[in-house]
Amino acid sequence: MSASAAQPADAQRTDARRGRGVQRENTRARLIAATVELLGARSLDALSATDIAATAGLSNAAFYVYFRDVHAAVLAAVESVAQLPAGIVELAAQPWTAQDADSSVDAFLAGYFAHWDAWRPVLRARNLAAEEGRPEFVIARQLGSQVIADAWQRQIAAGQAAGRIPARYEPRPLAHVILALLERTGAVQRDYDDLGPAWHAEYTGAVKHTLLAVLGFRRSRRGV
Amino acid sequence: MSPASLRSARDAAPAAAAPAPAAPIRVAPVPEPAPRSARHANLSGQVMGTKGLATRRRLITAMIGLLANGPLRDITVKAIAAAAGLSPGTFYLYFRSVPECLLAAAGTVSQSSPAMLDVLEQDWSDESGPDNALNLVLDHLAVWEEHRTLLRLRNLAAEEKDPRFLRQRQLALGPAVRALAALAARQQAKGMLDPAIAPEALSSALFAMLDLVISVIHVHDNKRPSVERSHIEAASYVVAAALGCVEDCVGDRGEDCA
Repeated sequence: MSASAAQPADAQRTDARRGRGVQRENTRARLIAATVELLGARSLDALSATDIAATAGLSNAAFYVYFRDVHAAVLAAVESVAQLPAGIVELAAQPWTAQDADSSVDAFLAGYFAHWDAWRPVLRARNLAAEEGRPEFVIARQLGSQVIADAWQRQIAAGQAAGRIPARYEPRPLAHVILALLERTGAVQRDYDDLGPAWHAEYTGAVKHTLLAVLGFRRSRRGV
Repeated sequence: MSPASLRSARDAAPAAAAPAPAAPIRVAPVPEPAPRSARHANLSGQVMGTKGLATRRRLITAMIGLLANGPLRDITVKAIAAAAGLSPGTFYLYFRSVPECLLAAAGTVSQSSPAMLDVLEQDWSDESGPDNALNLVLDHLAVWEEHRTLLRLRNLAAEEKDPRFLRQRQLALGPAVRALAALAARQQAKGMLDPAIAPEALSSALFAMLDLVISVIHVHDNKRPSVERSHIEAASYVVAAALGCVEDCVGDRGEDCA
């Protein structure tokens, strides 16, 4: 089936000034937007091509012109949104000092959790599919983590150069462990909303404390 | 003394084969069984005696055995019953579905091992803190290595917000989470940890981190298919630092924290 045959009989086709490539991109973007929307309301398992197409106002056949299956659509959604804002990555990479560490970690956590809040369903679907062993999602998750892992690695190396972090720990694995702490917090923090806003603040406070302690900005007060 | 120099024999242990890809878990909502004496009755309402409990355990053991050999999606009621030497009809006396049997299987795993509880009851305020943190991570990992498939499937289902699996996770980790929170409170009383930190929140965050480090660290880096020593040491450093046990640093202002 050709792409044009699958176009819906709507205004898109009548817009003769648009190139076919632009038209294709728009249809694809509509399907991705529908996928993102539906992931917010149901689990990955419950998603169907029919529902995605219907939500996008397209035919079932149109869906299969662009995507092999539901997972391919979800992967496209992941690739379109999964990147952390560059400013947040830069904040993690820029070496912190004793003077600005507290405000830097606040700003970083706010930006990081805002990203999760905005895209939680898509990011969770990505992690779930990766956990299930789907290689393309494992790679997508890897690519998504790589940039921020690099940033933390630089932050840790700077901390070691400054003598704040023991030099015997390898920066890369330590960056991965920090990511695990952040990612889990980002993924589940809304699951425990029923525990109330106080729990939320306490949990974020514990994560902030842990980050500062790991980076050597908060040490034992013994002997002080 | 570097914690890395300790327990080298155990350090070498974690090298599990890559787990089989897990199947998505679909658990249909099932009405909770009748509350009164529900734990002792099978699905026909018959009270389970020694024999009934043993049959149920045989089914769970058979399920765990099948999980070791293939993905969940390939496991059928018929296969579980056959592996247990029972009829499918017997299976349905005890479980409504394969996922329900999985839930029961996950319920047999405690992530709060005696070794973990023991290390959490120690005094971490002296120089043994970092070593205790390393032992905690190794003990946590040991449970994971033994029950990796079940724990992964349980966490996957919990991630999908299946409340029953979420509850299983809380039960399995509960004693350890409480013990770590108590430890954090003791560190606070000794002035080693900021009193503004909520001990329960810190404990939950650290265990969530450990579970994720152990179950998916290979996802971040293809070249490292298993949890490696460097990750274990990094995780133990994070635990020790969070609890105020790291002292061998110099600090920005040149003060010796030791």
